[in-house]
Amino acid sequence: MSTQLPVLTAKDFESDQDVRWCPGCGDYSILAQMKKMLPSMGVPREKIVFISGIGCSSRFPYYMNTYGIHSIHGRAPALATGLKSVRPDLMVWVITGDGDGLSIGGNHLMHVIRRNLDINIILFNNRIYGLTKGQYSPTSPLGKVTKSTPMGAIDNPLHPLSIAIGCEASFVARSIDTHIKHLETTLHRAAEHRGTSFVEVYQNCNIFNDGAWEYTKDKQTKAENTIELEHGKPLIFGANRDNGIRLNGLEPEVVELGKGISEDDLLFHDEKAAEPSLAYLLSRMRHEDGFPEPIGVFRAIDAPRYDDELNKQVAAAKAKRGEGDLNALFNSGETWTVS
Amino acid sequence: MIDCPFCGAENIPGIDDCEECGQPLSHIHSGTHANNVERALIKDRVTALTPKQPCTVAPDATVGEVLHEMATNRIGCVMIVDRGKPVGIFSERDALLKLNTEAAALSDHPISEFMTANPETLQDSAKIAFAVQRMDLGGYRHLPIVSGGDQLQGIISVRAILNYLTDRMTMPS
Repeated sequence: MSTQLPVLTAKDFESDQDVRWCPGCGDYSILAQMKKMLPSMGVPREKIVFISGIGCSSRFPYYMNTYGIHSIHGRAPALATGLKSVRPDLMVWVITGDGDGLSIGGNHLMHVIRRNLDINIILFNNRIYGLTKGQYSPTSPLGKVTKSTPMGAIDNPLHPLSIAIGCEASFVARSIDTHIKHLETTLHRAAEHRGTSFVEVYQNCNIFNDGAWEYTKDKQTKAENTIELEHGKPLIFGANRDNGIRLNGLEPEVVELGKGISEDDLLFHDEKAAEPSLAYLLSRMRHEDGFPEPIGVFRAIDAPRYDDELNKQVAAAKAKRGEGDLNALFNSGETWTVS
Repeated sequence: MIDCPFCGAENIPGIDDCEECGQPLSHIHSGTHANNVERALIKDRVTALTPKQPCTVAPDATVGEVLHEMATNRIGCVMIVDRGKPVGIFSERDALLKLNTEAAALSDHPISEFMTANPETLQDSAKIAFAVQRMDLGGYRHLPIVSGGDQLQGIISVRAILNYLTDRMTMPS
């Protein structure tokens, strides 16, 4: 007799914890879309783990009725690596922010991505340290005046997707907290991908950095300032869909359709391209340089996964040498008794 | 979950606007903040400060005209506006630091020579906590409020924020 699995809803993923984010914080939307999306994966709650570091976004695991670890600053990827390696049956999510992921945990993030562990990383990018009340973060723009940069930031900002693609991430995507349907779809694509999924979400901190992404959200301007990536389709944008992106040698350029330029002249998006160069080029298209900023899936390729490879080695070692004995291993070398 | 009073859709507690119909919901939950002041700062928008209509002049108004306006109306700053857009601000501090004892000699000069150009502005949807933070960081006593990108709607002052805070501090929890 087979057991009928319960059909979960978004409400089943709601925990009993009071949400402590500020009213109007973009984090609420990401939480809501995650709860909406997860039932579609058909994974039971006890098989899902959210691991975070430190920061506003890192309170996320408290608000999900799944397993969760609110861990050490920047070290969520390390905990996720350990957990996924020994429990490959779990769906593991890392929740991080621009400070936790790119500054304090930058090194860990780089290595978990290059290993292509089968986990999902969501980086909430609000371009500020919100929990500590408004210091500049690794993604704050040049010149940004904050508590810790009273005369304006002089650090070149990091661009999360360029970092992830530089580490040859097998899945890279971007969405926006207020584009709720796009965000839900993007989270679903990330969850489905086998390997490290890296998703940057433009997230508004309405207390310490309000309006940082307004150009991508404002109804009047968002069609001109963003471009939705669709696999196999030309890069077209604008309220009238009359602008596109064309390659001029190795440089992208904005062109107007018509006037001798057709869709066939434009750059066609290929998220399956083995070579990451085009995805990297897209990740460098920035509003301040006159480009629409791409949202959607930049890259989704199949690549060997760390947890698979590790467990193959463990299985091979067991087949050759039998089950291990920790006590025997411990006493096999130079041990001594202190009298 | 909280029910949207406009359309009945269920929403995550704390969400600003209903996901289904887009109506504002921030007023129907109080969050979990320490006290009235913290809660109010994070919840209320700058429109709760009732931004005043600023005194506005064109960029070619003279220093003498602007000083006369400020003294007559007993105000601390004027906005320099070009086609509805704030292009500068001139404050008591500018008068003190940039004109000082030369004010009479410079009275025929255009105010655009002495204004602080491209002043920081806030959208009318901004939270009061954000306004306080920007005033603290910039050392501003006044902040212009805009809507629709750059159309001047009003101005808020440190005094308005002090009044607001005093009100909230004396409110029962």
